[in-house]
Amino acid sequence: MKKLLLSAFVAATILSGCSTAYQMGQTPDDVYFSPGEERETYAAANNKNNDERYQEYVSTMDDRYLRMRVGNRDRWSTIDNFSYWNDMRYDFSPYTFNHFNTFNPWILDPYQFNFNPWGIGLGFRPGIYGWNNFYGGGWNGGVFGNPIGWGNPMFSVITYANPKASLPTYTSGSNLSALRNRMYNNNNDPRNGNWYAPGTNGGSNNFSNLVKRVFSGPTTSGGTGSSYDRSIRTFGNSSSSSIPTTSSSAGGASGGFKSTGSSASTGRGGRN
Amino acid sequence: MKKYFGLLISGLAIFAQSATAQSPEEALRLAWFTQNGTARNMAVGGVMGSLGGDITANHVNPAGIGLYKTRELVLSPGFLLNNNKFNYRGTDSSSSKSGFGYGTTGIVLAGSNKSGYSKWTSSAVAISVNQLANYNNQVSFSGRNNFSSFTEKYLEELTRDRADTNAALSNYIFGSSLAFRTFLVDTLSGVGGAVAGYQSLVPISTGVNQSYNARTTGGYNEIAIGFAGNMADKLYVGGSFNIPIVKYNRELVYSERDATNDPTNQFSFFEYKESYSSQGAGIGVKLGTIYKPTPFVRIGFAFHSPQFITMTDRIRSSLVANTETYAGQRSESSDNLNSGRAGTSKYNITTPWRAIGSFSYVFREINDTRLQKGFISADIEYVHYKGARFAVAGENASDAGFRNYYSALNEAIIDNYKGNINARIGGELKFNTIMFRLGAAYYGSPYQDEALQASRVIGSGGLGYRNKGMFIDLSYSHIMNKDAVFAYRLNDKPNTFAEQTGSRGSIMLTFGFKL
Repeated sequence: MKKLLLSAFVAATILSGCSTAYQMGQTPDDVYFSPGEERETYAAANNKNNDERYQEYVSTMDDRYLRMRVGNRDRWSTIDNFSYWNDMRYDFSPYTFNHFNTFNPWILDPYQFNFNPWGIGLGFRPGIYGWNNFYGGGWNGGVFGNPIGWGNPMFSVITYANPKASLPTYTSGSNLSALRNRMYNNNNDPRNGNWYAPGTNGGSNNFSNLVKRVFSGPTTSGGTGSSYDRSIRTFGNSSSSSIPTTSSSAGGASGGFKSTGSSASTGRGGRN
Repeated sequence: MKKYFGLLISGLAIFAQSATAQSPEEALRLAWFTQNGTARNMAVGGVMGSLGGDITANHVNPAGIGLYKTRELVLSPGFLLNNNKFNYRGTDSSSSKSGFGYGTTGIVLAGSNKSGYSKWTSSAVAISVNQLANYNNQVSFSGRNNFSSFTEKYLEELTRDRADTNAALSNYIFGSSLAFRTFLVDTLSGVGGAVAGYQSLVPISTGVNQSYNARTTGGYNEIAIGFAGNMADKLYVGGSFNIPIVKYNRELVYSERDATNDPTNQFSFFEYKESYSSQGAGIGVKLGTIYKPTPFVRIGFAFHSPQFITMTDRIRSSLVANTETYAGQRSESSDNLNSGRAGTSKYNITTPWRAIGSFSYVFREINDTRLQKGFISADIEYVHYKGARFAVAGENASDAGFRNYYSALNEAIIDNYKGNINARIGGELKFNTIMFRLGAAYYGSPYQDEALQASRVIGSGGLGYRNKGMFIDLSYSHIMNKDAVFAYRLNDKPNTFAEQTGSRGSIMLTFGFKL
């Protein structure tokens, strides 16, 4: 327990050190208002023609790319190889290595949050515009290269049997019909066993056919014996042809478990 | 340490039900539970249908994560205190058990769409895990009974199946066969010595002292991967893929002892022990939307699909019975009859769908946290409990006996359960960095039968602090529980059950970090 608390404390300390973004100023409360970064209004954006959008997009992408190149010359140099990214040999299958290629900058970099690497198709992901693969953000990357996206085959291969409701067939092995019994008794009879005396509790509460009276002998010579009731259940009348006789194969699916033991064929021994 | 971690992972929010093997109660375990989430969510009674802006929304109304334009990481460890009271046939008893749990824990990543060309102002993705239900509990009651016996269910099973002695010896190794082998249950001689039925050695009319004790652990955990979009800060839509992971263990000890201490009545006691586990994983979907018709007002709607879960149950049972002069003390176990192996059952379960409608008033939706004064929110939720379904799976799929068993189980669900309403309300007062919260909730009975009184009433409260890029919330929820627990069920005479009351206290602590 101490270790648990300690590790929680350590984790909390480390994580609180990470949250530098809001160390100064107010901490946003997203329930009330979530401060997004400044955004061009939709109306203003809509007034631009397609050429302007295109130019702006290319310019944005170039800026981003150049910033990355400055940051790490070697890492991003693969992008300059146009033929590599457009080589058909790497592109004939949606499952090819290419789309998960760790050199692909747009898929590799999960920290570009503003760029939305998840590509859930909400209309602002550059790849949605279906541009060429030069930036690695085309359609293929958007669908198949998305590790957690809608198009990921991970979600389509899982199939589960859809249970069907079917008509009830009460068969051997189930105690389930007892669940349909909605009569309840939560009080003891103070008269000890009068539940079972024929006629005393009225017709509907007479359970005398479910017990057997047993008499025990006196414990001491000359003493008086006692009597008590045991629960019993008897088979229905099997003389009718529609009722089967007793069976050795009854109950194999008892309780939803295969309840026939592998080594249960032995007897139970005799009584004392 | 490992144990605590296991409890933490597998841990919380439903009260354990009693059951034998697969039963309708199992479907209820996966449906009738109270809302669990972050401490902030718990403190306001669990409301999250329209509020949004809290990671709990990923498990309630995924559109709510669409309100995020920032990123955060949230951890929610919790602790539970169960204090149960029972009245069983006039006898009061109580039990308590504490354990670890957790609330919604995960990460939200959101970002604005800066380009302005799209209708979508921002979008968010969240990956989180939540413990929908925590099964840590102890259900323990006892009382005198001169009306019925646990052993009668064995008699009913054997006679209804028309089992002969070979079947009684071998075909019910987790129940009736144990009783038959220990002479707790024996044949009943009819005319000419033929087997006319079965008798129990329990001297029912003079009464027995019955005792039921079930310790349960585990939880109904859900991983949710949610996506949401925000259209012009007016309309939010979202959905989450859910992976439910269920783990439930029950150690049951049930006994009946002779109330008379008469050494000649051929019964002293019997004790039945059962070790039962149920585990599974599946898939489900939650969809939702939130709309802001005017400033400060939010209306939400969410739909939770049925979850399809493949389960594997394991059972081991044993019985010790002392029938005094009849056959003395005998014991038998399923391990002995099954070469040491547990009984295994594979099946599919479909949980009920649910729908949530919600309303919130948030004052004010403004950037300056000093001007954010508070909110009030209310959810109403419908759960279609009777829609739960079982289906046979795996190697048993071709066995007619199993198919029939699950069909009958489904009929029992339709017969016993109904759809019902849950309602939640809560609010927060905010003073810049400090927040005070209160909430309440009511969960209606899933039982069709009015005689079975069941409900959950919650009162909750909490505190929150949010500053310097992080937040800490603490909550306490007091869940008052009312339920009916059956130790056994009989077909041909009235059933008896323990009336459960008492409470569960749930403490939740949430740490959050703005990234």
